[in-house]
Amino acid sequence: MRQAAFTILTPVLPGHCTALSELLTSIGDAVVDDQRLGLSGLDRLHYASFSILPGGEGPRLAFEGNIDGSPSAFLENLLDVSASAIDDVYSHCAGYPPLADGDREPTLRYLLDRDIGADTFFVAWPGHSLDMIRREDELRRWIQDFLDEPEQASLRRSDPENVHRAVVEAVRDDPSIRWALEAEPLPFLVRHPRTVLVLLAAPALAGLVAIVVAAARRGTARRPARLFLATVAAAAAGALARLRAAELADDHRERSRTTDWETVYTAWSKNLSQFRHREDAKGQNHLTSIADIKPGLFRFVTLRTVLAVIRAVATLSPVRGQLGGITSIHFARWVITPDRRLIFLSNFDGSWENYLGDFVDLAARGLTAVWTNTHNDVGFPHTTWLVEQGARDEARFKAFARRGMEPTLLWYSAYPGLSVANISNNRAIREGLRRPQDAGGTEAWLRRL
Amino acid sequence: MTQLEREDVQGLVFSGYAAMHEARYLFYEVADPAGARRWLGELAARVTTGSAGEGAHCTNVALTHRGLAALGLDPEPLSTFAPPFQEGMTTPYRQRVLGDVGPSAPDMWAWGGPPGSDSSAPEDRLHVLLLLFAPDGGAMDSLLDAEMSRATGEGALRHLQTLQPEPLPGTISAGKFGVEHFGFADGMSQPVIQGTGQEDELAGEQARRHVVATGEFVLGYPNGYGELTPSPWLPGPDSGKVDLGRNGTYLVVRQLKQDVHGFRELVRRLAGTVGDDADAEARFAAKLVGRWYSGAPLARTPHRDDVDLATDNAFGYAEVDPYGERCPLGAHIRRANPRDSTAPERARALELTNLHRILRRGRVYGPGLPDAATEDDLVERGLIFICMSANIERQFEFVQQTWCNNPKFSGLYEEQDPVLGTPPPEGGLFTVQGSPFATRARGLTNFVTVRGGAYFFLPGVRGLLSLAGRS
Repeated sequence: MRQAAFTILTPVLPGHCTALSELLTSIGDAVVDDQRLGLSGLDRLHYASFSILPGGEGPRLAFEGNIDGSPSAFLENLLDVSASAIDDVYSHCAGYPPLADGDREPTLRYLLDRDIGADTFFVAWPGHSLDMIRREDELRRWIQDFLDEPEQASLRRSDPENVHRAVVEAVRDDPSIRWALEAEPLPFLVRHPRTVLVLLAAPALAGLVAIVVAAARRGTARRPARLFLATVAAAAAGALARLRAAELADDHRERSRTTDWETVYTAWSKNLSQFRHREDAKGQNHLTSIADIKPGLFRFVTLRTVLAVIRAVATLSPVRGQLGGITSIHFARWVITPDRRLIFLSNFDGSWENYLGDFVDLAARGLTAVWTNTHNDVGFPHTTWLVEQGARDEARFKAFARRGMEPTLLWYSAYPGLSVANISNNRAIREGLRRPQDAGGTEAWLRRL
Repeated sequence: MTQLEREDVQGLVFSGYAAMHEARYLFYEVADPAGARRWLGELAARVTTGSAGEGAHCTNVALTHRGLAALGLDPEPLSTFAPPFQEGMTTPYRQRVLGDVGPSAPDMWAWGGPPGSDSSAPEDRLHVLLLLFAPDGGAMDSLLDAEMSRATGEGALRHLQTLQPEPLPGTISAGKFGVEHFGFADGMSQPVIQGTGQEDELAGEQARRHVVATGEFVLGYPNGYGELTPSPWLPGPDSGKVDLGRNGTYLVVRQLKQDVHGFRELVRRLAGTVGDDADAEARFAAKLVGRWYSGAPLARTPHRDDVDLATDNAFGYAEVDPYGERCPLGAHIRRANPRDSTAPERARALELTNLHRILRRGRVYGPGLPDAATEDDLVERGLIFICMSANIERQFEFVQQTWCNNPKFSGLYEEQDPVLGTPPPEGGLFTVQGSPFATRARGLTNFVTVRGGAYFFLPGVRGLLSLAGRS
């Protein structure tokens, strides 16, 4: 099943921010047991969050969903089971047609029309439905408990093939877990990103080769081919020159600022406590951030291009479970708002310090290419050639990132006890029941237990 | 690169003062700000620095954020210190980060607890830490007399409490290194600070493993990213800034009570996890810690203790033990310093790991529990843990949170550091990886309880003079 993202932005009524924020916080404080929104009862919801974000025309409520299947199917279900809580929340938003009026359709339209989706949506394990993730963790526990039984002590002196056989037989003998032996393949794109990559890249590459060959040979195609290549080269050179000019203009602005970034950040940092209300309460965390896109068309186009490239890399990367080497992100998205802001929402394992450290240590170039097109009053660190330096300035990058954060008022995780690595390990355990997939064969499969 | 100004850095950064067998850590409250500043200014001349030899005794001094405020520092410079130092160790957020919950919650601390708790030196009154070191008891007595009267004689400071570690070499004499109360040789692995000259003795892999940028431990020098860690400052002449942090660092003190009897009981109870032979208990204890009692690392000698390897520190995990079959993935020393196992490429992994190193200066306190003891003597004992780092969040707190207390460390599911962690009431889990498959030890209990703690700033000598108003 495919995973989808929705980002519903709705204007908050003037004067309603405090009440809305208190309502969402009170639901969020006990989100697992909460019966009002009832998020933990929704079997297609991986992660959800609510936050209030600044906007050009006043504050907006942002509702983030990471779900199995389509947003419309999910929202229909949500409206059915949590009508009064949805009414309570959205009664603070302008133009909301309440469900209490008796007709679901206008409410659904209201939400779907205000869904701005995601420009880049990253899913650690595409194709893994919530149901599959939960069942496969149950399977892992079941097998571990089986191996830990005193009656199985003799297996410890047995060879790996025997252990594997014993586990498979035990699974087969238990009707409650027998499903694990049936094939439950992931979508084609998820299993064979390389094939898809080749299928997509081959025609483009062939076309480019044909043009280069035509430009080198005599014939009627020579002139247009050369013209094409010259145009591409000129456009690239122009874009690079434009980029350096924009970066030099940023440097100039930085030199002429009246208050240095450290002072700005120090003054702001007393706000940190409002993020820590729930930060690091469990093994996973959520991050909501928003930044203004720098003025001018150039930065806007550059940002869109960078996000498109990251989307392509994330979709077609043969190595799943990571984004730019970072292995702790379950779901993340970048969304450009109609009023030129960049929203970033992420659901990740471990602490903020670890997450931002990974940004700097592992993915500085990619993240610099994104956020160098944005600013806040701390300011993004000095960048050259779009990807160089930037996030490598650890202290300032972390200050920039912290400054851009908005409190997540309500956050829900369907599996707070599972890391990205756990989910993949569980998947490999399940697949390996039928046939160990690891290079190390059965021995490697057993190490997963 | 800037030359390291050793003469301006307090000596504790460079040395644990092994020749100083006696140590006292004194907590003071500022009673008279002007008098306290005068005292600090005079003390600056007596402070042991990194350039002088250790001499007849050693003196170092550190301050809390409340202490700096009590000395009369203005709110603006006060807000330029690192956030954890400003906030202190007892906020709900830091309790979660550090794992100070249940029996280790700050409300129960003997010192450093929140205002209004039973702490003898609650954090609102804990201002100054004076660290005194002397070679023997007699020298310590006279040093204590002299320093106590200077501090409190004219009413500048009010004495709150003194922590008294056991005289070195610790409870049991075992050569070069100290032995902590559970019986393990301790303190083998320390980072080597670039610029001290010690790095010249290391080459190749050993250098990559242990040599860490100066700025990771001393403010004012390039850190592991080649950048300067933000440093506190005072407003200077001509609307400039005086760098208050230069040659200073942040110091973490935590009093960790150890339940030695409980540890021994648990090892006896769960030794069966790793076999039923005579060595099973020692082997299980070694699996928890990652080193044998002698200090020999499991990664080097997985099957038996080997005193020849007691001080061995030239090992990694990626090559010899990627799956934890020698040293379990969740063992204490593997969590506290995962070495080359934090990234697929080994050299890069060492670089990443070394962004999270700390300098440890711990000493044990309380008498040892006799080996033959069959029941708990109910005497308090443990470790006065002291460490230093330029960036509390990226170094000390990261180690505690992302490595030691993280149930997901190294792909694991639901276990904490088996020695330091606070397991759930139903008992903790510890996985011993092995062939053909792992063994799980269940029912781990809590052995280490935090009894006090605070974040301090350890200024350079010029920093001390600036704080005293003498610069």
